[in-house]
Amino acid sequence: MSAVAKTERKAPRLIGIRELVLLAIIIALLSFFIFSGREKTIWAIVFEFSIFAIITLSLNLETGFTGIPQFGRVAAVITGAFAVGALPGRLMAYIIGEPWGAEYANAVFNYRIVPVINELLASNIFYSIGFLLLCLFTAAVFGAAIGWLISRPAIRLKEAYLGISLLAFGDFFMWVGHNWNIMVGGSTPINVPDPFRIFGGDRFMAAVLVLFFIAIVIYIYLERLTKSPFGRNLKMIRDNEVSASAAGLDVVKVRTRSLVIGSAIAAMGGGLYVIYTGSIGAIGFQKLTFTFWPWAYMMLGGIGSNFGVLMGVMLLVILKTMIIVFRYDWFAFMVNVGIDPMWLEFTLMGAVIVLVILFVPHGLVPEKVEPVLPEERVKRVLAKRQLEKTSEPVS
Amino acid sequence: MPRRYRKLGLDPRLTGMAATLWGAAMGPLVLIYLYLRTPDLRHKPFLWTWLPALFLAYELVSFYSLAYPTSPLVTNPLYLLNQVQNGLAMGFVYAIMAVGLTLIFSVQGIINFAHGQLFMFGGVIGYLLLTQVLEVNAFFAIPVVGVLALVVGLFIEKALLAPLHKGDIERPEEYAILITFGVGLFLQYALVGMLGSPTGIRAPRYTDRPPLESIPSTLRFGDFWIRTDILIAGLIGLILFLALILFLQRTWTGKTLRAVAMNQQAATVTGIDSGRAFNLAFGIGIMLTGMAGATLVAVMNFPVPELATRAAIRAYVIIVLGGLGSLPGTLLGGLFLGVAESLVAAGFPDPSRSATYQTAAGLFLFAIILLIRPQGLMGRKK
Repeated sequence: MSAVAKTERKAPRLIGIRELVLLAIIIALLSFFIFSGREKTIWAIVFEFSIFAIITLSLNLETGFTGIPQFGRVAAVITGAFAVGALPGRLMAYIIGEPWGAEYANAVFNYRIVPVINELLASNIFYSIGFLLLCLFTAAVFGAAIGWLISRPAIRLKEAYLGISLLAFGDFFMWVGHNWNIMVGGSTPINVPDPFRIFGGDRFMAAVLVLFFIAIVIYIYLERLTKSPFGRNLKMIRDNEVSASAAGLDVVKVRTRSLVIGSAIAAMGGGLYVIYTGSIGAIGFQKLTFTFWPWAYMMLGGIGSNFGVLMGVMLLVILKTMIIVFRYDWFAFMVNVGIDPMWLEFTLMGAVIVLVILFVPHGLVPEKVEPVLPEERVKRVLAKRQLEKTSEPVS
Repeated sequence: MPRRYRKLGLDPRLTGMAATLWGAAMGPLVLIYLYLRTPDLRHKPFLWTWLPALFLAYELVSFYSLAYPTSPLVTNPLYLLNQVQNGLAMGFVYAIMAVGLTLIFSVQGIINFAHGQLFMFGGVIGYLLLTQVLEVNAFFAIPVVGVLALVVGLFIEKALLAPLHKGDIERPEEYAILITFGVGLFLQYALVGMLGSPTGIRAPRYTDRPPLESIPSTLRFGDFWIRTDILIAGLIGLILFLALILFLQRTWTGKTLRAVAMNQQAATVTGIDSGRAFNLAFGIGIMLTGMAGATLVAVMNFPVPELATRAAIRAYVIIVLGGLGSLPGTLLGGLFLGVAESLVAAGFPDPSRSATYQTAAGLFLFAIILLIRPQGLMGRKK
């Protein structure tokens, strides 16, 4: 009977009061930028939101749904960035007959080759779209490969070891990219062909809109994925690995799949970041930006809740931008104490992380406990069983 | 290979390691032999693990000397000896850096992500004391920094980490990692804000001020040389290390810490206040970290704030290499990493890039060791 009582809970609404309040706060904060005459900042916010939404959603798939302490998010991001920086541009250079070997990653040649490719891309919209899709595909393939590679130790190692190992892997990739000149130029950043050049003067707005669109598509994909049987497998493994394997799940396989999908998505995020900024320098991919900030966004939004992650990314990105824009207006008094407000962004973000974990440990939009099947269907199944039981002959 | 052993009902332990090592050392023929005959590896561990490891090392060395016959490492044995010595000294320095982290991990079971920042904090406070407050030798700053770091550590534990031990946190590892990371981020940029801008700080060396000003900064024995500062820092580190071991082995308080580390519930049953033990362990760990910072600020230049991440990543690599939570393992891991980095820097074919490859080499080594021996050099299998 207790099973029936449990399923009689109301099905959760799609958007509750909590979410509405959060949306209202976000809109109010955004309109603050408009009223203070900084409309252009909003484009920057939307750009950062899109990139970090993609990365944080992938992190949420691995950590929130699968339970892997993924402290090496930057490894997959950096792989996507390197793949997009190194390969599609080389392919284009090969097609149009420019040098594409080690010279491509040399700044002297690269700054001459890339504008030629850009002109070609800007001449035809199909070239641009094709190039963008090629970049995304390359990033996803390499990201999936690196996810598989990461999954090998991730299956064998336990929590603390795994966290540190993943962290070290991320740094390792950064140092390789920084030192290996012929891949993406090493310590000198190189340019990346720009598929958005076709929009001319509106290039940045168009790019931001495309990125936003991709982020929303990925959100919908992940939302559907985590509601599918595969998503329920993930949650089962996260909550109790022993019972999951006793129920016949191949834990290793499911975890590997989760890591491969998550890494591919994160790599797409890294690739899009490189395409938007138009250049790649390995040293820019620090674990602070691409591992710990996604973690902070995820913790604030709600671990294991995709919508919450979107809210968390938006809120913290707005907060960060506000600190950067207004730090010398609002915190000028700190100079008198002998502290430069230049670094306030990081200091306050550190404080925010600590406060969030202390006071809202489940995040602003916590993960909902949902019945696996719709209510009516559960009732129907139970009624059928009841009928079978009563009609069974007593033996 | 382990799968094959399991299928035949044999003991699969050691198999992966032996197969990897022999396979890498001798090629696939040994693998075929292992696959077909499936010998019992447990009876002769020397034959199946240490011998191929030595063989592999010999192969690597001979391959290197064939590939770069002009490298000074091959032609000049004294240079090699000096590099190894330098590596050992740096390794000792690294081990001092990591010892606080090990203590915290072995008692609390959490990883302190503010480690690098607290290390830098010790260094910066020592530097400020030496340059702006008192004109004394650098080792007088160490106990002052130690007391300050102890207070900071006790406060952090009491305020932020105490809920961990009440059992109402769902994912304790991630909670601890994130909260210490937040503290670290805050501390790092607060320090940068206090210093004004990212700078490299250079504190006066041990040999710069009395009573040691008459000692030359480099000791020479023929062609063999050693830096006096590193020697002094190594001695101080050794004293700290021994003091910690004595404290843990001989005093009642140290014994309570070890008891809590082994089994929290049993320790509570015998009347140990485990909350206090956790608090004290974290405080002492932070104290050692800060003292390490103050010791080393008089040896090397501290680039603020990059040093924090550099020191932290080395410390993490060391404690995982040595086996999490093992003090002798920490020392061994530090020496291992120091020698490896020094040799890679000295033997890299392109000298202009060798310094930047140092970090990557350490991390690469770390990945390989983890694949072959996931519990670390001196770790216990759980």
